[in-house]
Amino acid sequence: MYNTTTLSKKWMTLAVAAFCLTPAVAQETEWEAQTRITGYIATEANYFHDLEGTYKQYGVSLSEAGLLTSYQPTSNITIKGVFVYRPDLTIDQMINEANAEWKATSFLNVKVGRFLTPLSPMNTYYYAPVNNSATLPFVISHHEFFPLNMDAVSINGVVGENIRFDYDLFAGGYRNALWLKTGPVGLFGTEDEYYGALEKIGYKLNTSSANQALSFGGGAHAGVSFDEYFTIGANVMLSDKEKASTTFDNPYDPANPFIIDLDVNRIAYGLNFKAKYNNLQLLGEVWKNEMNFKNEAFNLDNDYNVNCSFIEVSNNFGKLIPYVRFEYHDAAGVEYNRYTTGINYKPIFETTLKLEYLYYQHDIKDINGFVASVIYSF
Amino acid sequence: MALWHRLFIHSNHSSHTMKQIFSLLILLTVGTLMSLQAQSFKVIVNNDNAVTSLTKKEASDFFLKKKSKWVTGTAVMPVDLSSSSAVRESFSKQVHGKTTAAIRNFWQQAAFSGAGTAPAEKATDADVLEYVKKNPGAIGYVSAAASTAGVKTVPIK
Repeated sequence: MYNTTTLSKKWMTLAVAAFCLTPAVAQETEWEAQTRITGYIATEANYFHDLEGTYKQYGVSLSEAGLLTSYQPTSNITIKGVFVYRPDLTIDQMINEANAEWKATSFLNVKVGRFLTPLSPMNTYYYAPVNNSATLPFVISHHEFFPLNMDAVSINGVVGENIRFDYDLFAGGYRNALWLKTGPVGLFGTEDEYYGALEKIGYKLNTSSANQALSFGGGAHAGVSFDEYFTIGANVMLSDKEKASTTFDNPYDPANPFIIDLDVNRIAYGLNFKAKYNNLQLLGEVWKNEMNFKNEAFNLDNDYNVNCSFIEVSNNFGKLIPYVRFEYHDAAGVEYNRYTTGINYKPIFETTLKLEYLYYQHDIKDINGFVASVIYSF
Repeated sequence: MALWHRLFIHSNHSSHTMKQIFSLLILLTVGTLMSLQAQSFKVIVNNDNAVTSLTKKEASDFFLKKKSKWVTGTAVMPVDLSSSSAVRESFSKQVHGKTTAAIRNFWQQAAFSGAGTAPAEKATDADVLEYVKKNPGAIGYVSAAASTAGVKTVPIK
């Protein structure tokens, strides 16, 4: 006869034995901690023909300088940091990523820290050496639909091998969810303002204020891939009470416009797809953002909807990748298209050269220009 | 006319001979290169691994981490030679069908996008052999001349 104490002791002994044996089994594989460092320096030249307002026509700048370090102390834990210098950004904005990921299984990973918002596959091509094009699609460069990165928790994973289902659920804090200008001329990311001014829209959302406040939101991505040939994904981003401000024309004193703080609620949703056959690749995304701006003191309650889509075709000839992209953009009635074509030439791993022609099509004024960039990576 | 005719015939004949020699040289060069490439590396796995052969696609999927487990369920642990290695260039071209630079691009993209990290890199054949001996799920490659005692060589079909 065993009494309960004896049974408990036996279970305890078994548990301790199991606990002690587990590392012994794990030790059959001797994991060596791995540290990786990679980085790049990108210099960019822009030329635009006949830009209106205070924009320069041309400029050259160190557009990006990035450093990625990752450390894998065990096979299922990765600590990653990505620092990317861009002109005019604060140190906080330059810390693009700083996170730790624990892979419990292939279909359950937990990531905590700052990471790229996992909503558009194009967001993962944010960094210059891995983006075919010298410019990013509006979906990414404007930050109108979702922020570039978030300080958040993500639960994600992949199921299957030839037919793969992937998911990502995340929630946390973020900044810069509304416009952030880039490029030596400063046009990229501010096209809505540029065309809004041409159309004489009496108010504009202020880009700088939107990048200061820490907002809270979350979202989800679900996708399916058929081998390497076809991928489709659905994405949604929700947030409550982002902070922004808007400037209204002052008819009595045009030099001193009204600036009003706003609470912004949003739901942004989109679809992405990729088709690949041999070296030919087709990418596309369609997004809609339904935002609402409120200021109760001024009795303001305005809807602000943004629609955007793009399609890009490229062919990888090894060292040379030509590409063509078409984009449509509509920010609360300010509509324009952009046609982009260029080549990406990578003679060796360390050096990439990009040359691109852009044509903006708008009812009042078209813009065209060139972007050239040289990227050194290691 | 006769002289022109003779010159023409002679010229035609010598051109034909040159073409034959040139074709032979090309065949010899291609043959030599192919035989050099065919013998330039050996794929190795741990002695406990039951696998007897791999297709190019299977090997490529393991090294690109597209397949993460052996049929037994053991985690695959690929190991590469350093990016400047001629053996790695040969392996990359024959197994992945791409240059080492293209494979480095793939891993750079994966690293920045968070999709994954490149396999461990070792500087020498001896280091790769040591890694494969120590880890049951390891797969690596070494130069054709390297001794593979203590590990299993797996033919690539």
